[in-house]
Amino acid sequence: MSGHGKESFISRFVFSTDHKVIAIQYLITGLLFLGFGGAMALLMRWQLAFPWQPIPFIGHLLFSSSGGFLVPEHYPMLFTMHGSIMVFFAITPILLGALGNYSIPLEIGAQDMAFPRLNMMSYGSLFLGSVLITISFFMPGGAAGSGWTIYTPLSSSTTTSIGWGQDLLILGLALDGVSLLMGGINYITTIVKLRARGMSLRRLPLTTWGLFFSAVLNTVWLPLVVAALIMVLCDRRLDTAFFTAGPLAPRGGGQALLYQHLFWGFGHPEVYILILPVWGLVGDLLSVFSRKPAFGYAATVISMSTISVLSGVVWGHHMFTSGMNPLVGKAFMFLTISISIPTAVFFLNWLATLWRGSIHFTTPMLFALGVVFVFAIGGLTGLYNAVQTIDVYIHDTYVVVGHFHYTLAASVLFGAFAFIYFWFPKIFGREMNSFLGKLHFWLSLVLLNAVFFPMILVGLRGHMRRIADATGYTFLQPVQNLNVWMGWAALFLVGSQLIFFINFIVSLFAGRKASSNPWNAASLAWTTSSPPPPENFEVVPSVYRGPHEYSAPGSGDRDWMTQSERGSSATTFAGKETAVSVPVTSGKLGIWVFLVSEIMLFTGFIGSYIVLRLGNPVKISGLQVLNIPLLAINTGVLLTSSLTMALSLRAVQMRDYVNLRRWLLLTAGLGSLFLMIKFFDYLHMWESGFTISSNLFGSCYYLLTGFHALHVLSGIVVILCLWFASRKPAFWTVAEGRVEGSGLYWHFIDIVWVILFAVLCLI
Amino acid sequence: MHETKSNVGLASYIWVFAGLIFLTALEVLAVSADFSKTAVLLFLLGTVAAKALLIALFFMHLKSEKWWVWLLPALPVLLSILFIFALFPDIVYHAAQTFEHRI
Ligand code: HEM
Ligand SMILES: [Cu+2]
Repeated sequence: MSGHGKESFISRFVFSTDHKVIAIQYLITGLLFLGFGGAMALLMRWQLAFPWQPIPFIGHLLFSSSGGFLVPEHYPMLFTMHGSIMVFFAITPILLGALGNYSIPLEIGAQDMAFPRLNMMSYGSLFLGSVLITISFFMPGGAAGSGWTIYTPLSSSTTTSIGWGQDLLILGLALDGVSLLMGGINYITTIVKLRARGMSLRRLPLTTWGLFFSAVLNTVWLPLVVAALIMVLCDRRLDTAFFTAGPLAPRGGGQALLYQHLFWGFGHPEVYILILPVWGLVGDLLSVFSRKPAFGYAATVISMSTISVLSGVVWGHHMFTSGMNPLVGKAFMFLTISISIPTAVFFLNWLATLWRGSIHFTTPMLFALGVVFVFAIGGLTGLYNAVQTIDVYIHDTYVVVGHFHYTLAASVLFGAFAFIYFWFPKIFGREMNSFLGKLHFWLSLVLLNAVFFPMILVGLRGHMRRIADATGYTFLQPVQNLNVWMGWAALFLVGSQLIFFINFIVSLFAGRKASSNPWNAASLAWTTSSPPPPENFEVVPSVYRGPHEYSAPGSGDRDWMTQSERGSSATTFAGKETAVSVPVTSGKLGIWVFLVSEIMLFTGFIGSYIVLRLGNPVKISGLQVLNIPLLAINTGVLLTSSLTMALSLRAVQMRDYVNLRRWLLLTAGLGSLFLMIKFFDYLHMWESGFTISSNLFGSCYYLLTGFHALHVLSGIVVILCLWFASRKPAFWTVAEGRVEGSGLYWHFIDIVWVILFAVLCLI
Repeated sequence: MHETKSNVGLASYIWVFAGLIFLTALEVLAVSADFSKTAVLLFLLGTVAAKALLIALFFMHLKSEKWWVWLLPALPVLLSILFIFALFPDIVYHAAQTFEHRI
């Protein structure tokens, strides 16, 4: 501790690279936005219960211009920002950011994340994003209003009432995406590389498994939506037409449906990204508080991984009514329903864990059991949505809103609370009040059913989603009293969260001091002090057993054994099951994981171009408009730079640092030459009238090559940094890894160009 | 030993580079010649795959990596191809049809 004591407040709490501090930053950000999103939910429910009535107390503060009540434009802004904030800036920071950052290194016995500085930047990026979306409320024209799905063409047209708020939301989400990618790279690398001795994969806590799968899904699917959002931004501000057609795109255009595919290609995995850590956490908590090993550990992990894979191929169930090809819809239906098989497997494992356990109803256990209960409702209602023929009727009604609030606002949120109540003593060294915790649980459980179940009921009566006033429809008049009911219930639900906030803040300062293992839990995190020292463990732990050693014979007068206890019981597998040592450096693994996300990003762009171009009745080929000889020469330039980059790695391997610097400089020079030629190519074409908004081909050409050029530029910057650093002999010890990593990135950019040259220029 | 290994590296780098330039030249020749569209398309598919593989195998050293390092780029590439094909029914074949046709 002493070393840290001398640091200033700024370097210790703001620009910290300690995963524990970063986790707290995420937690606080997430909780603030949770409150913010909850307040917006209340405004919506007020409006639905008492349409166009002045909002009591705060109406004049918020909506002074309109006289204290909502006007029709406000409602879309409210549900858009409520949804986006809840998903991306409340739940994600709490579960991935805070739970992920805090628990991963402690549970696997590491000192920190694999890339602490990247971790700091990851939070920084989320922070910038959250600033942007906060500012977006104050933009002329107000906040974004096209739904959390940002569907085109509504979102991509600036002629609608949607103004700069929409652009800021898109930028904010893109920054959040970057933050999650950096986090994903870190989580994956950390879990693969930094496990303590003996921490084999079969000994990882289920929480860590859940976070791992969630990070994998993030790295793979998130780039798709980032690509889509960038294209929406181009449609809005650069006059392209990737996602618009018909009268909105006079020069011929793209397709709105493509956006939906890209969005849900990520959007569906996203719901699993959120719930996988919760499933893992619940699996662990049920075991801790039943004092029994988790039933079917391996089966649970296998079903979680199966679900992760399947989650990537079911996105079309959000688009059954979009006019998509019905045959494709059928495939998506079957795939979606098949997810219920692995889901049922681990669900039964949960129940079997509880079976004949000695159950301790602590606050985190109550929330974990709450997840089991509400997830059953959420999951079962999901099955109905998945059936094409039923979805035609319930799509865009409150049945859907009810369903996803049971999964997101109930299951995932309860998971978030279970996390906070369980980990609070470890994080802050103090215990939360358990009476208030239980009160919070019971009130929330009752009230959230009081809010979300009627949603399903009114939905079955045909109550549309995203309408501000149901009283105008005769067929909805019988259910208006339910809207009033939901309004009151929501008020009490949000109000009862104050109990949590008070408990949180008071416990922070006045809670009972926590011991290192207040729950008698067995995983590694509970073997170190609360809060843990800066390096997490006084002694680097070795692992001898699985994470759920409860009530095992041989544990003496206690009913548990921690993972790092050697013990003498038969359950000690040391030697047989030691951690696999992974023969690749963290840096290299990190770069490869990064390249995975880059591949998917370019899939978003190149894939869109391919299908749009093939589907476009107007046939334009690069051969007709582009300067092929010049571009071919430029290809040669970039290929040469790959050779020089390869030669710089060879120079490092031969300890020839003079030539290393020459080759690096030459690589950067060739990269710059490539950019210069590119620039003149652009200039020439633009002057001859071929611009980004000329036609679909022009839009794709400038977008794809422009994005590639940005990658080249960042590659040049990295290489110049290496060149600069390699002056000093101190750098030489790490030179090989750095040069190799930058080389991988550089060659990857080269491959992208090879593909672009063919698909854009030659076909 | 280091020395010899790296010298082998040098020769293969140069050969790979020459191959890349050669394939690029072939691509440009192929599109300027008078072949059928499908033939050119298939040919380009081949050259692009060959070039990408050359870079990945030799410049990015995938050739000497463990099998599971291969998985890292292979899986997303596979997913990408699947994803793009999944878009065909909706985006490629639907586009030419008008709204009335769909109903
Ligand atoms: C106090 C609890 C909450 C209440 C009363 C509530 C209420 C609502 C209401 C009234 C809507 C608008 C429905 C419509 O008009 O179509 C909505 C939309 C939504 N909510 Fe909540 N919500 C709550 C918590 C949450 C949480 C915790 C999450 C996420 C984790 C969430 C995610 C969403 C999403 C994604 C939408 C869709 C937005 C859109 O249509 O674009 N909500 N919620
Ligand atoms: Cu889905």
